Amino acid sequence: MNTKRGSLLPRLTSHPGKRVLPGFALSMGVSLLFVSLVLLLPISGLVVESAGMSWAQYWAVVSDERVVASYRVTLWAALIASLFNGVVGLLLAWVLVRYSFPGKRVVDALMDLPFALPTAVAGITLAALFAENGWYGQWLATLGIKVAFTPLGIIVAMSFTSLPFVVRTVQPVLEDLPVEDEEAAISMGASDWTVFRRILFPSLWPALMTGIALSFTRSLGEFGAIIFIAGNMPYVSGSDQPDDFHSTAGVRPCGGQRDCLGGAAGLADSAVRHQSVAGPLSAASARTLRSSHAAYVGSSCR
Amino acid sequence: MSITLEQINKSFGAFRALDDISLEIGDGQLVGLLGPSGSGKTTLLRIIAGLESADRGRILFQGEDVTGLHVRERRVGFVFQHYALFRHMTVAENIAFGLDVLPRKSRPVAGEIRRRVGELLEMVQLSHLAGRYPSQLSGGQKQRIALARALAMQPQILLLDEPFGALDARVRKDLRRWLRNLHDELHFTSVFVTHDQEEALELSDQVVVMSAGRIEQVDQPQALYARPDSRFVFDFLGHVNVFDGTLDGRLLQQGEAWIRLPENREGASSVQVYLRPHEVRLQLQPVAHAHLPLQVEAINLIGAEVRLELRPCGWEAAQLWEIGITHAEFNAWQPRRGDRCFAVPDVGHLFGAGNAAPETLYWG
Amino acid sequence: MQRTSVHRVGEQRWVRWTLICLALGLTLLLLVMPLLLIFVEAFSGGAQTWWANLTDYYTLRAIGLTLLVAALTVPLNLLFGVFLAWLVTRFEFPGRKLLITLIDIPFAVSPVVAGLLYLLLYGSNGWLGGWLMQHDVQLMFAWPGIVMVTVFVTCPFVARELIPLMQQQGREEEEAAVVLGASGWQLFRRVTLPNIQWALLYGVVLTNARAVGEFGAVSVVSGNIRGETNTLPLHIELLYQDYNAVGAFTSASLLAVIALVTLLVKSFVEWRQARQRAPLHEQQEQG
Repeated sequence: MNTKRGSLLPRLTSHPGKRVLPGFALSMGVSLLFVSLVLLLPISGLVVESAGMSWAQYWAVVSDERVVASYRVTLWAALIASLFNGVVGLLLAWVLVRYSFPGKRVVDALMDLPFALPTAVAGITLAALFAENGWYGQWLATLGIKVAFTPLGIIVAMSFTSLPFVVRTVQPVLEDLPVEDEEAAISMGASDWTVFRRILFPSLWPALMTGIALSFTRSLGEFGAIIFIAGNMPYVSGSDQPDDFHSTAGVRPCGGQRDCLGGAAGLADSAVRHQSVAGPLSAASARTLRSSHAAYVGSSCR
Repeated sequence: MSITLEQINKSFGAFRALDDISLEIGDGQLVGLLGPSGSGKTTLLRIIAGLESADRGRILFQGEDVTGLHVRERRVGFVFQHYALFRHMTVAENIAFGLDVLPRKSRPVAGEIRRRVGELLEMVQLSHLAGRYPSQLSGGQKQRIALARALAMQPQILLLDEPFGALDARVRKDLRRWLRNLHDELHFTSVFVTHDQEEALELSDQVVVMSAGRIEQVDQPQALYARPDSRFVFDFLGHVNVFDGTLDGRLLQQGEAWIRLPENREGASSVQVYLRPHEVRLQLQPVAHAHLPLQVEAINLIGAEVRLELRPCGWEAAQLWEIGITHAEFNAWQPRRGDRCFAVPDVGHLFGAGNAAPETLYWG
Repeated sequence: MQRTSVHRVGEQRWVRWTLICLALGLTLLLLVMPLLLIFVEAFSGGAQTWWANLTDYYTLRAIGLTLLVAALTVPLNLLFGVFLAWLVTRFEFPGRKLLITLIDIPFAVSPVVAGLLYLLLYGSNGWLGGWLMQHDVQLMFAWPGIVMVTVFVTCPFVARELIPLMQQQGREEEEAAVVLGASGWQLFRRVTLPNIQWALLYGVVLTNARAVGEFGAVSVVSGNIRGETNTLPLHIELLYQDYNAVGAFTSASLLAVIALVTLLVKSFVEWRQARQRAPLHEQQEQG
């Protein structure tokens, strides 16, 4: 094999009908059919609708008052949730990578629970936990803290569903940290905290940032877990009923009633509006995490 | 089964991998394709196998045109550079694979397949590893299994892509010897690719030296070493000492150095003389036919001889000269860095301006 | 301060155990408790109530619909994933990189938006809606729409598991098999499949978990018709909004079990893959 070009690179032969490995035509056919039908066709809807809008229309759609209000809550909540996850996630990753203790494998597996658990289940569970008579809610109430039906609830739901992002992003980086750097620093007399602050943390920082960013993106798009704890009302097009907190939830037309669609324009508006907020971030995050076990991680919202 | 290649051309985009290659490989020969990376040797091998198709040209096996034949139909044996053993199958299953996938009509019964696998394992002396998995084998063992797997189909043509490249020196030597013996015993036509000239020269009946998609020279190993046809082949087959100079009649000059050629030459004024390390001696005084002052730069004791690296004094060469002296000479002379001496050529190869084959020069 | 054999940060006993306890505590609070709650609530009326809730007519219909969706989605995406991975890692052709990027579309689009886009396309007011109505075909607000949207949302999983693995494994084994005379099917069954089986299993399990649990996209196209177009997650929502917490948690417990199985399979697959890599370290270059 021409080692200059690397032995992993598939070769194009100049007689296309003569490819060495079989199945080109079949797999090409199946893939193109599927991609066009399932992926491209629906997406073209978004593209066409967006393209068909003038800037003024676009701006009008995106900056609708009620919606902007809900954006603000969403963005703040997502930010706080991700920062919280950053701290907690770092701690969990650290402990999982650095220490052994009984039950470690179970804890490690549990880190993926928020991904594996359907968001509706997460939603009702968190709502029940933090309700005023819930396990957590009741003694939080004695401290005067109310979680259910408040922005705090949204933060909790966002934090739960996107915690694994930080943990799974930081873990591999932690595992690969060279031992020698630490050993050298400690042997020179530096304290633990100094070594952590000046040697370890700078190496971890990019991964941590990535994890936080992914957590943020996921939180922006979260739907299922939030509507239960935030007690959200679906946005009914054409009526005056505001959606309470969450922009995404505000997108569900008429609570799903069959005949109340508000027309294709209403749908398109909703789609465009939502996509322009979370879309670019989601696309970027999908690109960032191409590794296999991050396939789970890449599922942006439920 | 003989292999004939007629005007094979292959490009990858703008890169010309093979430029009009024509080659004849006789039945039962063991031929080495030798060249540096990028010379096209692996591409050529894969084209013979059918793992690549040429843009133009024909391939014939025993006179029959197989250019249009899919690799599956060509029934050649191929040994990959990194063995390509099936990692999820045992050694025995690997070797049996070719037989297992035969169409029902031509497939031998299970017992027969087992027997053949046993025979092959005996042949490569690895019967005790039949139940192991490739990840449990060493490099040399994997190589032999890969070979056994290819031979299980009793191919008339065996192709090997840098078969010993990933192994260390001692293992390589053993396997080389072993492959040669196998070839002599089983009489298949064999073509292998290597960048190691020692390997090519030791193993092959014929060596095909390639460079930049072209064939530089095809010859038997001794002839290739003794009479290289081009600068490239010279350079590739080991170190060469080059004297670059201006020719005037019989005298070839550069700076303070000169060589008197055995005969007059007309024509080209700027020529080069290539001298193999064993074709030139070292003396403390110059001789009548050459004045090549050198200064000892480094002394390397390499096993049977002492190799001196020498810097030209008063003239220039692109690379340091290397000349070997015997241990006896070394002990007598006791050279040190900085010592001066003179090179005395016995045999030389004269290159003119173009790419024509060199002329061999002999000094009495 | 004494520093005898400590050569990494955080190795002292008190630091170590503090952090471990902290981490365990957080895990307990954030992950274990919610899990526990699901089952406590589900069984709060006793095992009989749990069973009754589970076998309630609408719950059974929801389970049935969810199973149907999974039964259609998983094989479809399995096939697609395998074909796409094969195409993209074993051949070179113009547009290959673009194709790989296209697979990420479901990640770039929020599931709710995905649902909307499908409505836009196939809904009665949508582009194809008219044509569909003429032929008396209803896709949206019926189970076909749910399946379609679930397929959309879960299609990348298998492919994204297989592609990096198959790229890393390279084509050499398959080329060797072809040289030895294997046909396409023999090649796939004997050489490729064994090499990708664990990644494939994991991709299938992921697809299944997501297909079963998808909420956002499905809620948009479902129409929420009790007994007809409610999947299990939607059914849970319905029960919860009806203040039937125990019922909701009963269904939730079912989904929680699937989630735990998913985690188990993931652990198992990772363990297998780690084991496969290990022997290579012990290799030496001997004849």
